[in-house]
Amino acid sequence: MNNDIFKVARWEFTQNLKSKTFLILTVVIPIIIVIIGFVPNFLAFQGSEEPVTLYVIDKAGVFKPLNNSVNSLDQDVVNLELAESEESELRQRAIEKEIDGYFVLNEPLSSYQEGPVQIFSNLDSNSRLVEAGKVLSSVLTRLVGTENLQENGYEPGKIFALTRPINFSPVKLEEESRSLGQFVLPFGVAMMIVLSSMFQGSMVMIGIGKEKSNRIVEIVLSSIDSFEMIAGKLLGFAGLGLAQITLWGGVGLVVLTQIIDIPIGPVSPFQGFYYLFYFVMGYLMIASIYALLGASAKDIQSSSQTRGVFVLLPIIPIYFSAAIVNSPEALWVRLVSFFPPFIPTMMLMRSAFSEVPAWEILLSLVVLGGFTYLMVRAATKVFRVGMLMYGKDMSISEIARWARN
Amino acid sequence: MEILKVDQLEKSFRGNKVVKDLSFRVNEGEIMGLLGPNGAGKTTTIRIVMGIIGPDSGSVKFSPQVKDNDSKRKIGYLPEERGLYEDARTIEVLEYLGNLKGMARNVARMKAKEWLKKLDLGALENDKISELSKGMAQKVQFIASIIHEPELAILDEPFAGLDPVNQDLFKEIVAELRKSGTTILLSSHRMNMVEELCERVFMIHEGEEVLNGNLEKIKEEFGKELVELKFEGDGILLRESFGDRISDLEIKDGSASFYTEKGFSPNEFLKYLPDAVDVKEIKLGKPPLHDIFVAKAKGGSHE
Repeated sequence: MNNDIFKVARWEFTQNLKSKTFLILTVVIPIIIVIIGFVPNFLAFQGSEEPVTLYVIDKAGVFKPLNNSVNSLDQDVVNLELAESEESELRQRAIEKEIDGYFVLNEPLSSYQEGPVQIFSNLDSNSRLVEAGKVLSSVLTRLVGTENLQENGYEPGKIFALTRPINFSPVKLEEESRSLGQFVLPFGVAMMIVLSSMFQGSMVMIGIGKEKSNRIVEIVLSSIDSFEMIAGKLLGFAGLGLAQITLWGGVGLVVLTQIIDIPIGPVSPFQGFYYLFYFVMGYLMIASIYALLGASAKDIQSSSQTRGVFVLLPIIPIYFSAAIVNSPEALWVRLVSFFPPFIPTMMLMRSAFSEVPAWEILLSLVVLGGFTYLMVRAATKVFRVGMLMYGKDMSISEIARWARN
Repeated sequence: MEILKVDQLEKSFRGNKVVKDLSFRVNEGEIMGLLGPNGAGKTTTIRIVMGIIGPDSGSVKFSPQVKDNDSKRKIGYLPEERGLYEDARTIEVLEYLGNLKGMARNVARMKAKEWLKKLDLGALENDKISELSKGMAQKVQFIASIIHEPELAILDEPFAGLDPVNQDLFKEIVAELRKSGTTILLSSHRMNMVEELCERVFMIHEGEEVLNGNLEKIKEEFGKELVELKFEGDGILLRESFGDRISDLEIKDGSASFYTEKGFSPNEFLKYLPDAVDVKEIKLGKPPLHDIFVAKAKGGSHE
């Protein structure tokens, strides 16, 4: 490829990498991702996830078997500690919330069949104590029951066999569901394509607008030709987009797998291929459309209604996302997902929520590839003329004429 | 040797003809002035020469030493409108633009530093372009246009917007460039500036050629002499005595200036001096380009 294209690409890459806009767009977004990832999780933690630790003042001498039984249960509701200090001191510490709480076990344990064991605590969440109480109650009931039966002459081994507990375990009934990991990845890729392409695209557009209005384009075009200039720009910003996506993807993966703990399913080579294809082509297509808009406008400020529509083009599929989640294979969704500017996002969103037939994906790749080629060509041609045309916006019909020429 | 050949250029914008049948040459090693008042069509002509816009008809040909295989690298171009990458650092911009002209980046950076120092901008190499004053930015842009030591430098209004000190500095540098072998096509509406620098001029008005050729010859052919007198006595007598052998007579107490008409030689003119005017000082000289232009432009529009 042409050396001058790389010169322009390197310039655009390094200059914009240092720009505030790029830093803000690139860093603020992952922070938002992290916040979105963290907050619900954090709020959930507040509920009852952490086990309650209770101190036991053991006047009945049963701490060991009690603790063993509690630990042998598959539960993360309660931990026990043997109290070594006076009750008054524990009470004080519980009031000050240094410890979750304590309870006293006196002899004989069977006396508690008449009245409850009191748990002294100053915890805000009563539900955690209730949960802990349930666990302790079942363990202690067994312990006391075993003792009673033993006193009545039953063999310990027999007692165990006779009093085995009966458990209930919930089984959630739902349609055959896709795991979270299965849809997070394509959905995430779709969002990153939209955001990154829009960011890069608008930076291309603004850059072109500036170069056009301060006429540095004349200097650049007195050295290289317009194709090299725009190709270099698209390439340079592709590099920026890639850097951005890598950062976002990296942060996103860490957040998903390490913090929220959502496994990302294995990606097949075919998936890997079309994710990449959608990204590269999606970016090129959107950046070209934006470049075309920039080159054909009089200046950066001038933006007619029609232009606004084109600028918003990439985010339109997001408005369909609710519909896609509900019925990813509805006929209209399938049809709209073949409208070229929507292909990367719509297809990825569909594949997040359903199995998109391979032939549809392949067809979409062909359509997208073809359309992107046309857009790049059109942008190059309009750029050639528009960059050196001053003082007025190109009309849509002029753009169309130059793009075809 | 001709380095640039422009033939029969025509260009219209929305039905309005702004360049009318212009033909001129730029010879190797010279400073050629492209002159005319604002709106004469200079910038359009230069943009056509640079290939930025296409002509409706006519041709622009560079000699192979300036442009082969369509490469514009041996041409340096300072556009009329000033603009650089606002957010970039001065040295980076020069390095990049030099690089685009085919210089290695480190060479471009070194050259840029030399030039910045030479134009008193050495301390500002790491400043952003947006932090520079207008004049400074103009110097930077000027450097950008000649950093690669072009065979041909096309400078559109290089003196516009500069203070007198910097105008002189630019004049010196343009003269130096020429000495070091760069051919220069200089466009300006400031005729006095161009007059001091150029051997040949191509002067246009409303898109049409007014004057074309060697500056001295043009002045010679114009035929008039500029006379400046200091005297004692009644200046009105001068008008009576010379009649229509002179033109543009201006009298201020004790001094007068006028043009002798063609054929009215200094010798003859002395004979006609009225006795009642006691001449203290006489200065004879060629008329400034500006006056020739005005005369020609007026004449042209009558034809």
